[in-house]
Amino acid sequence: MSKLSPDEWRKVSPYLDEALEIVPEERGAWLLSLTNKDARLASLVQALLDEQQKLKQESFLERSPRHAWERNLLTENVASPFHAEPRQKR
Amino acid sequence: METNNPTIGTLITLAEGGDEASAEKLFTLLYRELHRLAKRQLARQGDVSVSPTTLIHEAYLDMAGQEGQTFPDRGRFMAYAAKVMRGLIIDHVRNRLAVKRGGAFELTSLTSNVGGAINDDKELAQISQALDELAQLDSSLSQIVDLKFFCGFSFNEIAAMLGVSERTAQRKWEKARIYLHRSLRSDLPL
Repeated sequence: MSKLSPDEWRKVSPYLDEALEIVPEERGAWLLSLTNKDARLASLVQALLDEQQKLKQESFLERSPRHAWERNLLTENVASPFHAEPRQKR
Repeated sequence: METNNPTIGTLITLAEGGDEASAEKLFTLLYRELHRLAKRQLARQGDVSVSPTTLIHEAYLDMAGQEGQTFPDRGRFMAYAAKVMRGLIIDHVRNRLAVKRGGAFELTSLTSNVGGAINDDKELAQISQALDELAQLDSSLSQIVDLKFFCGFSFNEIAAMLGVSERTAQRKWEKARIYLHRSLRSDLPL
């Protein structure tokens, strides 16, 4: 899996928009039509759509980071702008 | 010569027009305000956590109240404030990392896939860096991530703020996630 260059992203972006608007059952036909026009681009769109499904299943970025701070704050004495300072133990 | 106390509305308009100095001034101003409100809430509530969503709402009400009719619409303000909120969160994370590592802080590629949960400080900082790159390509995508992931707004709230349909907000979120995942996990097989 490689990072997308700005040019690659700009090229694939409108096709991703289009693909994400199509119901999954109809994407096959849409991708086939794209393959006939530009096979390389279609293959990248397909890979990104597969990745999107995987990320959905994984709930990638679904959990807000503040849950992590709340837990960490119980054990760490580091000031956070979002939490009261932990009480100093003497 | 510096302009005397430009309004938030003026700063947002100038920043949107590409004026770097105004963008920086706006960021600093909102950063201070959000930090001040966080401290104030904590002083009131004792050891209870403060939610970024509440802080942004409060900042809007406070600042709009001071500025009156020249204040920008809620959506434009929220989008900027959410980016600043990310800055505040990341600064906190960087400080914590600096404490852990004796002051050294470096962004490097990830070496493991941790699934859906983003709990690691280093990974949060990497997400922020990738978001800055994404903002250069499409700021409407990075805005959604700032609002949803860093501030905890729902799609429904985001759609209303930005004046788009919920479906559009969700599609942009899906695209942004793909971009960020590619950026963060580029050294791993799919």
